Amino acid sequence: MFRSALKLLKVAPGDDKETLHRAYVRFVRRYPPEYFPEKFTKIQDAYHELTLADRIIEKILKDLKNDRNALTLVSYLSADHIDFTVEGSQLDNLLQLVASQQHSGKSKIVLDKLNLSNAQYRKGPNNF
Amino acid sequence: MTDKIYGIDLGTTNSCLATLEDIPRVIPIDGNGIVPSVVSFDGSEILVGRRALNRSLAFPEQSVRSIKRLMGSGETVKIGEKSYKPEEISAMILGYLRDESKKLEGIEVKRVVITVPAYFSEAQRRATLTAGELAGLKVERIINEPTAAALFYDLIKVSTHDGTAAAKDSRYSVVYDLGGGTFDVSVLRMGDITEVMSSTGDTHLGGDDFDLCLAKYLLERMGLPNSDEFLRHRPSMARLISIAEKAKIELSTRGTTLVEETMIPGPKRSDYSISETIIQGQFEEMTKDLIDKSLILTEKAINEAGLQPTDIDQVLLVGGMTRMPIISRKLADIFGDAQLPTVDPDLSVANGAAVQGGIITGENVEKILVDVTSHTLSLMANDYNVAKCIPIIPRNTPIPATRSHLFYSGIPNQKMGLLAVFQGESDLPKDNEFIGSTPFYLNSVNNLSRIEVEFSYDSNGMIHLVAEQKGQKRKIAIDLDSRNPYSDAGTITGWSDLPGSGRKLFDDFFDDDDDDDDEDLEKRNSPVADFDEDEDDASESSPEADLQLNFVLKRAYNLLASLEDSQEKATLTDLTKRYKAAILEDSDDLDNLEDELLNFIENKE
Repeated sequence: MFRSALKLLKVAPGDDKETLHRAYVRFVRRYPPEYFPEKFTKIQDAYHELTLADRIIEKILKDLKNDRNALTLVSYLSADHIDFTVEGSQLDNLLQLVASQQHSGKSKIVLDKLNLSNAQYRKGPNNF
Repeated sequence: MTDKIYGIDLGTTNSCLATLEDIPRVIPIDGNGIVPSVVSFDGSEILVGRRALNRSLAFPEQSVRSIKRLMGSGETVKIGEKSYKPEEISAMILGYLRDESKKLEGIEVKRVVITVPAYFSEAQRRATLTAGELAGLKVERIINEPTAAALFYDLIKVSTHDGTAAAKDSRYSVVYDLGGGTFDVSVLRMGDITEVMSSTGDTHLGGDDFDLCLAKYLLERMGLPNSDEFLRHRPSMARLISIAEKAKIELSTRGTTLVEETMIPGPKRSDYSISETIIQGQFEEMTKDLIDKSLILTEKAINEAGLQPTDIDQVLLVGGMTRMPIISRKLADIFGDAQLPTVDPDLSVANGAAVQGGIITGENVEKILVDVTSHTLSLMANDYNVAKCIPIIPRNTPIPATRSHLFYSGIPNQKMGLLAVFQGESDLPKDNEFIGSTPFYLNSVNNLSRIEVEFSYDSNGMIHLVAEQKGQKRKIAIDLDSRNPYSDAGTITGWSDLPGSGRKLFDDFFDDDDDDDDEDLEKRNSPVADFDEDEDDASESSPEADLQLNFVLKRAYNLLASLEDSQEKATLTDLTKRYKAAILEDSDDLDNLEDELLNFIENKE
């Protein structure tokens, strides 16, 4: 998913937010939602995928700055519909790691450390 | 020649109809184009607009105001012996706009874009659409009011700039839209395209509430505090509200106003009078809760967009209520240096709807608007024996959107599941709005079945639902037309028809009847459609010969029309053809062709 998103928007891993946004705008202009709804949806999903990590990190950093507690962090993560459970020591590590980052492009490193792999992006099953 | 698409702002207090020329323009119905959303019944005659407003002061019980607040509620209004649905009253307003446009300028209004508050629910949008259809109009799109205002602002700003290109950098804008009955706030990123980043609001917060605050204060000053009797008496309230509204408007431009009225009708006697000076600050104090509510929602929208107030470059004020000076002051407190550009708070929504009309017909193909869903769409599922709404398309997702989620059957050999779709932010179905449901019959398997459920939300507000029992080729595809979800009456049930919550919800589906064969299942799951991915592509790939699919093609066709040199013309025609073929076939060569074509155009323009 991550790889196909990179391919679709013709960007490289580690490209910054602005580069991703420029690529997104370029493709949306080429494929306006009015005439290319399916293609647009694919572009949108790819952009969503590629910016998800950044958005999560930003939320965490913002919360840390505002001195919110860990519960808020977890609720933010679940608000993005990502099944992400953080346990005791893991949470401490997470907080330390995120706090040590001065945000800006390093989000990928933080993410790797958090082991927020694609598999964990997937939402947990619910009974039907 | 396709019919032009007109823009309509169907407001709580006023409505407008706009037409797109070089820039959009509001048709001056009722003098200035700001048509009161009032309907008054005079015997068999139905008055709408300014005349209805005037008549409503003398005959409030024969008149309807602020009908928008009842849209989608299922309530009706009673005039004499007859009851009217809100859709019907709104249709009269729309019909009046159409008829007056014809009378004034000979315009035939057939196709329209109608705006609604961004925070309107599906039911409210559906009611708006029905109103349009009752008025005999073809409603091409329902769009969000703040987005419409931003589209218009972007257009006039660009055309006053240098006529060709917008400034390259994108700007973050907040649209603060406080109208007669509703409040919306949206955060947008505007540059080469207009993207809505987040949107929230309150469909019951607007000028009417400010009028009521002031009316209650006046009652108090008349020595009738909290007089329920007075508040319920329609002629008394109509007069009082009208006095309050007048004072409110005066207080937008003056520090004080003198309210001096006699012969105010009361429930028992008809000679109440009042003489009272109201100071702007006093009015601001009594409506503080309303203003604060809007400011809290504004901060929420910014937060949901992942921004800080300092990131905001400009704040657009839309809706008549934003004339209240305290609103600009409070917003300036929050946003500091952000600009508050002048936009017409009354007309920009209708004008923006006309711009959207131009996008649909292809006149404005280079303008791109990416709007978002304002409520979460979810599927009801059994979560540890509690019926819960599992979000599939979260709020603020750009539309059109497609998302899927994997579910499991509750027990082995489960024969059926209920696919019930809800809208709203709660995880409890009872707190959300029910949109529609359909049964999904399953193949019996010994293990738990995996069921993938996919929602698509298209720009026309249509919700497509596809469910698939994995590994069993059991599939159902259904359109939950948010415009008309009850059209498929055989399969769609109301929430009240659903079995009780919790465990029972799912027990009901486990019947003992074992003799279903596959064919039978196939029928029961109808309409079954293998969602053919190419289906939509087909409609994409059959545009009219010179349809301008995007800004590149638009520029190419424009240039073609003005080129004189026949050789250049041939080159451009060839390039354009190849580019168009490449984009429709999604060819690998597309990037190169686009560069080549754009280079050619830039050299010649």
